[in-house]
This record gives sequence, C-alpha cells and structure tokens, in this order.
Amino acid sequence: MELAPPRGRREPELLPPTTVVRAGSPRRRPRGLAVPALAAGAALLWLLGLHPVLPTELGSLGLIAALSPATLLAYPVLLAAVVLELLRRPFRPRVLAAMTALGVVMVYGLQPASEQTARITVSWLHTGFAGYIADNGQALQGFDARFSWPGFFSLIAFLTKAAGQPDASGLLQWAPMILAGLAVLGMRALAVTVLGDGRAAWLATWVFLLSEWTEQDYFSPQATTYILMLATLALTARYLVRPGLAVPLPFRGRSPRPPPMPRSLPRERLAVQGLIVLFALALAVSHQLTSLLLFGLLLVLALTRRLWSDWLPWLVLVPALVWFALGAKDFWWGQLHLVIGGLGKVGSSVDEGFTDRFVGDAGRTAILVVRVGLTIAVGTLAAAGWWTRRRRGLRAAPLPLLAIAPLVLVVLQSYGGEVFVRCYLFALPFAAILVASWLDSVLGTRPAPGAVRAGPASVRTGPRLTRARVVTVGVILTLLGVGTVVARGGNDAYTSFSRTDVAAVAEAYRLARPGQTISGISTDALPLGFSRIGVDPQSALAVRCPSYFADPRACVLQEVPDYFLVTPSEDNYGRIYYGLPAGWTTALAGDLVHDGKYRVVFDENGSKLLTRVPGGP
Amino acid sequence: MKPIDPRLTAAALLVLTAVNLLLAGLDVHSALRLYLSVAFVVLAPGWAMTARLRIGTPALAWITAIAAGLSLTLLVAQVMVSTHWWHPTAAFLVLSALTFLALLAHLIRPPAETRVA
Repeated sequence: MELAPPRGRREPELLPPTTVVRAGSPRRRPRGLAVPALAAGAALLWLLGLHPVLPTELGSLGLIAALSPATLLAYPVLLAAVVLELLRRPFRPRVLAAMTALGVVMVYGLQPASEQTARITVSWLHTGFAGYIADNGQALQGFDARFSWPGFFSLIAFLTKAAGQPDASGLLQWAPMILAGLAVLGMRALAVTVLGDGRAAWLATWVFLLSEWTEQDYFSPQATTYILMLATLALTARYLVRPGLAVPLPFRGRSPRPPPMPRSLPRERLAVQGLIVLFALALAVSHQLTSLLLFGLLLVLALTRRLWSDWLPWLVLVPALVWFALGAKDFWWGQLHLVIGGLGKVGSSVDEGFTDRFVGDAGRTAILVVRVGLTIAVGTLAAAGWWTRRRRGLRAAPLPLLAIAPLVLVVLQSYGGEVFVRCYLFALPFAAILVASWLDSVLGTRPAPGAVRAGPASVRTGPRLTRARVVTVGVILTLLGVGTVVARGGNDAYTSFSRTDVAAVAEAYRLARPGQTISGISTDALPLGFSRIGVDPQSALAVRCPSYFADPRACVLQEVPDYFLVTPSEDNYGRIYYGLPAGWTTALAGDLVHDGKYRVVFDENGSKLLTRVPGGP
Repeated sequence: MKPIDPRLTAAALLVLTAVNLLLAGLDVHSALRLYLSVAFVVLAPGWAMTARLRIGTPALAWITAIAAGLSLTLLVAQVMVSTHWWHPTAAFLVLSALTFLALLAHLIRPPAETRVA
C-alpha cells in the first residue's frame, strides 16, 4: 500500500536511476593506482596465505581456524580498497568490477582453493542423479523426490554425455564459486536497475556478496534456478515495472496517480516477456520452490500496482503447476501429505530451523551464533535502510515488501527447518538493496538512491563525509564478509572430504555387486551417491539407526551393510555433534574387524572401506 | 561502464563455439572438453539469442544471456528426457551449429551498440 506524503512536504523530484551525480571534494580522492595496488595486495595476501586443508585438521569451528593470518588479512584489505574506490569522484566502474570478481574468488573460491575435493554430500549425490539420466536417458521413478524435477540433472547429463565424460564430478569443486559469481552478477543487474549505476548499486552488490552465507550455491538445481530468478527479477524491474522499484508512486492529492507506462518500448516488453516464459519453463521442471517464490515476488509487484503486465505472475505459476500435476506425478501420487503436510506448521519450522539446530559442541554453537547474527544484522541494516529512505520521502512500498515476502515460506512449506535458510536467501537481494541505501546515506554527500535530486528542504542528502563514517562502512562490510567466511566454512570439518574419502567410495562401487548395500555413518559426512544410483542401496546408519552414537557397533551389526565406509569426516561429525572421543570411528572399524564380522579392503590416510565377511553376521 | 564492442564478443564466442564443434567432431575425451562445453552453454547460445535485444546495462545483458542459454539448453535436454529420445551428442552438435551461424550473423551484421538505460 502506497502512502501519501505528509501535507506540506514537497514531493521529491525523480531522476532516471542512471543519472546519480558523482561530485564532491577532490581532496579525498585516492591516487589513481593506490586502490588497484591495494586490491592486488589483497589478492597476493590471499594467495600467499592459502594452504591445503584436510578434514583431519579441522575442528568444530571449521575452516576459519585453519586459515593463515595472511589470508584473513586479505579480506579487510580488499574491502578497504572497495570503500576507497567508492569515495572517488567519479569512481571507476571497471576497477570496481575487477574488485568484485576478486571478491567472488576470495569469498566463494576459498574452499575450492584450499580443500582437496568438492564439499557437501548432496552435490556428490546430484552427480549420481545426472549420471543415471546420462546412462539411461530418463529419470529414475520412485527413487527420490528430486527426480520429479529433473531439469537440472537433465542439463548436466546432456553436457557430460555430449562432452564424452563418464560423470560430472569434474564440475563439482568449483561450482559454488561459479554459481555464486553468477548470482552476484544477477544481483548487480538488479541493483543497477533499481538504484541506478551510482555508488548505492555497488554497495548493494557488495552487501549481497558479503552476506550470502547460506551455501546454497553448491552443485544443485536451486543454485542454478536462483540465477534464473535473479535474471527474471532484474528484467522485470527494468522493462515491466513502473515507475521503478525504488521510486514512490506519484500522488494526486491523497490518492496515488495511475502509474505511468514503463519507459520501455512495446517490442522490448514483448521480448522480455518471451524470455521470462523461457525462464519460467526451465524453473518449472527444475525446482519447485523457486517457481513459487518467484510467483510470490511478482505478485507483490502486481499488488503494489508496479507491474505493467498483471498476468506476469501467472506466466510463471502456470508452467510450474502444469509440471507439478503431470511431470511430478510420481512425487505427489500417494504422498500428498508431504506436499501439504507443512502448511501452517510454523512451530515445527521454528523448532527445526532454530532449536533443533543448536546441538553440538561449543564451536558448532559459535558458528550457529555467527549465522544467526549475520541474519539479524542484515535484517536490522535493511530496516535502517527502509527508514532512511522513508525519511527522505522515498516511500516505495515494493522494496520492503519484497524483502519480507519470502518469510511466507515459513507458513507455506514442507521444507522442514531448512526453510529459514531459504527465506534468507530469497530475501537477500532486496534486503541488500535496502542495506546499501543506508550505507550510502552514511557515506552521504550525494542524492539518495532511487534517485532524489538534492535540493528539497525536507530531503537530507548532504551530511559531511567524515572519517568515522567511512570507517563505519568499512567495518560493517568487513564484519559481514568475515562473518560469511566463518559461517560458510563452519561445517567443513565434516562436509569437506579428502581424495582418499572419494577413492574409498569409488572402491566400494567397483567391488559391490548389484543390490549389495553400501553404507557409512552419516549422510552429511560422506561423498556418497556419485555413482550406481538405483543399482546399489546407499544410505547411512544415521537414517536407519538414529541413536547410533550411543552404540555404533550394535547399529552396524543390526544393519549389516555389505560395504561400510569409515572416514575422518565422519569421525569429526561424531565428535562435534555427540561428543564422541577423537578416533571413535577407527575404534569402531577395529572392533568390527576384531570380531571377524568385517575385513578392511581399502585403507588410506584414515579413509577405510570394510566389507562384510561371508558367513559373518 | 562503456560496453564492449558486440563484434568482439561475437568473435570470442564464435571461437569458443568452433572449438566445441571441433572437439565434438574429433570425439576428444578430456575434462577440458567438459569445461569448454559448460562455458559454451553458459555464454554462447544465450548471447546469440539476446544480443539484438539491446538490453540495458552490461550486467543485465550478460545475466539475461546466461539465463537464456541455461534455460534453452536445459529445456532441450529435458524434452529429450521426457520424450525418451536421448541423443545428447547429436543435439549438442545441432545447438552448436545453430549458435555458430547466429554468431556469424552477429559478426557480419553486428547488433547496434548496447543502449545504456
């Protein structure tokens, strides 16, 4: 709902977003090469400080405790360079673009650069799904809900098969950096469209880059569809929204005037809607949640009377519903309770999202506190941005509503506790725009983002730039960035793997006959599932024997898998979550071998593969 | 930021497409081929599709091109999976050839300079 400006207050004059003035005192301008040199110094520090990190070296604080001081120092140095460049009049977009690319490498490339193989079990499992489609030319029905939205797996199967490769494992390790980098590009496109190409848009891009701690950018459908969603939103904001997302609707007396036509041409609007239909079709077959979220965000634009084409949300929703009804029949047929079972269960979402996650030792708790702290910080700064814009007469309802809208997922979801992570991820682009509005106002000395011409007495746009303000912005960006590096690496003690872990699993695939079971201790701590999908049952004790940590040996003997994997990552998992002593997995393997139930067929650097002895249990 | 000359972009993507076609023609089995295939799918078909739309800013133009390329290829793959007509090598060759021709057209008759919104 758009609010009328108070009586007697002059309506701010609106400028096209790209005409933000870059003027100011040349006294504070850093020398031409100083900023690039500082950024190059950050890159050098980062590279010099990098060193290989194995899961055996990690504790419950994860990767951050294993980083060298040089690598850690690189982040504030880079962010100092960014802030200094943003203070230049005018700043140099190419320098900022290069530093943004460097930021993507330093934040999202840290783990790929320092760990031996790809992290996160699910990314390995997704390789297995794509491999199944590559080999069979169809999805595996009745196996896993994700096969009901197989678009991403079909794409990867297509690429690996066309490239003559046996599987997609070569893509896994650096996928997070590439996918997150593309998301940052999408954020940049959205920010420029909403805020213009001034300082605020660069700040929004950097806030997004430095606050994306959720790690949903691993090799997965949601990481790919997130890029499509950002592209759709940016195109919509540029061509189909009137008068602009950050611009208040013009008022006539107390009532808003009918919004003007978008500045785009009819053929441009037609072409853009065609592209959005293409994206919507790809979303519909790839990821159920992203389609619904995008529909909701577009609906917000329609309800706030910003969308030129009111039918646009339905262009996104209808393909998703058609695919759900026809293509995903395997998922919902007989499992409707899974689809609607989460409706309205806010209490259980809160339990699963917060309470149930606060388990484990002090280090893990500290990591969780950092994640919650980052989320609260971004929310608070976004609220400050909204308030600042409001004080400047920029009462554009869509921005805060778009930042809040993803929270509806908590009510309408069947994602369990992970839903809060998804809410944050989907809210982040618009929250980052609001945060950037506040940071830009702290730096001051130029028109407000969105863009209000400096001049009306009621609009405060010219506070004096002081060193304290610059330091404040630098410190905030640094805290967000370092917090995100801490949070993203917080689980690495058990979500990262060594090459010998992967080799142990590959050895199990080589030895197992069709139908033989391959099992480990926890599905969170094994690179399991990258092959033989639908051939060998592959699971973990934690699934079928939830209290395994009380007596793991009894669980193994109860489940009697044909092949049993023991790795340092699993050892870390038990230590961090259940307080088991270091080396408990080695002791377990020793007990099983000593009992004559199992024998070791692979043992390298702590990664072991045990096979059941015929005639054993 | 001044946009890059579309002919330069078209030429670079044309080389990428040609290399992919060559590797496919020679049936080279190398991890490098997979990386080049991914780069091709992410960059080339979408740019060939959208370059003439003269989309606003460089960031918006590129994210649109990338999203278009990913969506198009994903849908081609999904149609093959859904229809049980699984011929990824042939489909990749067709996609590469069509992209090559479209990029060649861009090179010969370049799209007008990207408009800055």
